[in-house]
Amino acid sequence: MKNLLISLTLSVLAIFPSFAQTATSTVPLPVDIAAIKKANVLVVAMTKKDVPPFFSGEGDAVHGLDVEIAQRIGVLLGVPVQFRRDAESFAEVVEQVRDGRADIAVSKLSVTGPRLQVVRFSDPYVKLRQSLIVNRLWLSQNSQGKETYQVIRDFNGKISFVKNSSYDTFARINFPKAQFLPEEKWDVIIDKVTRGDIAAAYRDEFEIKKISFEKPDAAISTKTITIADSSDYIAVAVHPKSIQLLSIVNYVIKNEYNNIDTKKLMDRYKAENKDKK
Amino acid sequence: MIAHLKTFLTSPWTILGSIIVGIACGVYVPEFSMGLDSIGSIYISLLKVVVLPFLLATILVGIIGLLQKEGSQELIRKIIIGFVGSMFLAAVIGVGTVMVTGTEMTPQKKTEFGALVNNKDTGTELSINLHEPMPSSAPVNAGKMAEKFIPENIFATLNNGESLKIVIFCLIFGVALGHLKTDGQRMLVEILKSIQQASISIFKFLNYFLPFALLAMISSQVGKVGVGIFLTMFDFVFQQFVGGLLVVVLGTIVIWKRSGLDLMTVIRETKETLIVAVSSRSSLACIPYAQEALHKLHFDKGGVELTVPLSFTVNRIGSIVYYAIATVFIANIYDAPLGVTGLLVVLFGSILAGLASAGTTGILTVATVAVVCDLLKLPSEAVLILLIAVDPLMDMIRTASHVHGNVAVTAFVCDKEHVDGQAERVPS
Repeated sequence: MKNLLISLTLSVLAIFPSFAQTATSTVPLPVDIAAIKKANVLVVAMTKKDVPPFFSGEGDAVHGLDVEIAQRIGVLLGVPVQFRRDAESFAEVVEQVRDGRADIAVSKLSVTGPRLQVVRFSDPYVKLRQSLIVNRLWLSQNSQGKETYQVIRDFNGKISFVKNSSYDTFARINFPKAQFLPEEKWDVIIDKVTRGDIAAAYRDEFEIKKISFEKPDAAISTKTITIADSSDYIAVAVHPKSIQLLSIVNYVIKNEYNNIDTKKLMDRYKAENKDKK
Repeated sequence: MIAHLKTFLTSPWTILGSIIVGIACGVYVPEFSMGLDSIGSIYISLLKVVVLPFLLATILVGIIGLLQKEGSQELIRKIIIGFVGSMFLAAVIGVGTVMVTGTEMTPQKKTEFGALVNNKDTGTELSINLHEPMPSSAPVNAGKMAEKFIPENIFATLNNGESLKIVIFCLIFGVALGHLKTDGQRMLVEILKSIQQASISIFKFLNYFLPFALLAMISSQVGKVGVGIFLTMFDFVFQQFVGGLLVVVLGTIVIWKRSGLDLMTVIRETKETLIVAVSSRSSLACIPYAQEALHKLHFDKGGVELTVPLSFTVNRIGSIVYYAIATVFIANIYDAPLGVTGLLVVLFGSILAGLASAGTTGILTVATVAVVCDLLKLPSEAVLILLIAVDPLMDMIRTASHVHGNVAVTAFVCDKEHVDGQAERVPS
């Protein structure tokens, strides 16, 4: 009797793994996952331009926070990751996901109203606030006894931001009286605001903070202003139909990338730059 | 033996030596030097502890003496002329200095300044709400400005050491007291004179420790700030130095002409006040030294006793020169050409800022440069970090020109005294 019980238990244990295997192989996978499995690759869209410490480096040498997140998702799916980096702008990255030319976009993407209409966003893995750098001379000349926050609320100067980025959207909502000057390159924007050609540049607090390391002289001619009651949520975008994929992305973010703030990003950025030097 | 020691301790060579040793200590053993900071602070505290009773006694005695003497209106008229004239001259010296020593602002210098601002402070960042309500700060108006001149509770004022309010109180109280013709008043004047004399003997005793205090104060300052920042800010430091030097030279000429004595005597008598100004960076602590110097140069005692405390607290010559130079420096950093109109604004703005800075010390005095910058619509916030960083040295120059300038103003205002005590008119 005792022997029988042991052998029964053993046989159940022996059968169980094969039973589990048949369950996954016979029951059809959700469509979005099945497609990725079939292609045996996860295509991840990122902009052509590097955005350290999120992603930077040519070809296989690409590395950074977004690269790590994408690779974790790949591991969970059991497929290799392929980075697609031909998008000229953040808006184009979103289009690639929308049109199915990429499975997901992990490209320091901000969640915005227009983008929410065409793709699905994961939970944010970085929560930033919006920030400005303002030319100090312009600020003093346009203050007229008003407090700085009032000048910013009624901002009526020339404001620049990266073309087709989320700030293109934010600027038009938050500073309706401003003159909008979208620009391809962020470096050019910083130069213009330090020289005083434009009054302000608009981006997330992390990118604004980065300026003080890349261009120390900017501290004299510009002032950084963080908008406390604003948000810029960075999240992963998937196709609207990729519901199962989205839950996997959310699982990775919730488990492994749930508390990244400006300070951590800054430390990462500094460490990367140290290596370079 | 003790007499020798006293001569040694008060000799100018000893003082010069302690300054040199102090700088050397600050450069080579900065950590040790910073530890000496407390010795310097103790010395300043000891000086200041007697300054307040001395200030109170000396202004009251001065005012009462003035009211009981003929020609008090004449003195008041001259004080006003002296103050207004010296403030204007100070602003002219400041603007003149930068015009003569004008320097170029290169992109490289700007990068260095930027790096300094980045390292020194992150407080220049601002966080605002775009939609949520912001806490509103109380607007600064003329009423608020006047508040700092008006004493509310003389004991609290004395307690806080607010010299400007003490002077205002003494003026009011002194006039009231001067009009009394009672025994009580005469007795009070005698008491006040005793306080004055006792204070002076304490100052004289403290003088013997000056070389040690000087060494401690200078070495700890040099050790704390380092030399690097002064090299980056060389142009500005140099201009301030030239401005200060011009005030001291012009002041010495005025004292010399007014005293009618030979130049060497004037230099010998005023030198000590200047040294205390540089080392203590406290104009208040210089008041007794300045008065003694002016007595020795035979200026009318009553006039000196009133004019020195009044001018030291109200007539901010050093600050005016400082503001004029600092404003042009800021305009240079922002490539904002000033032109003739701009320089005129700097000239009068500096005087205004000087008046506004009355009663302030240290960083608050430096920050008042914003008064002139606001007039010119220049941003001062970022550069302020640089100005504060070099201020230990700038404060020495500012105090020196402030003190020496006001000694000169007093020499201009007060008449010469005969050996028998009779005032003699010196043609101005």
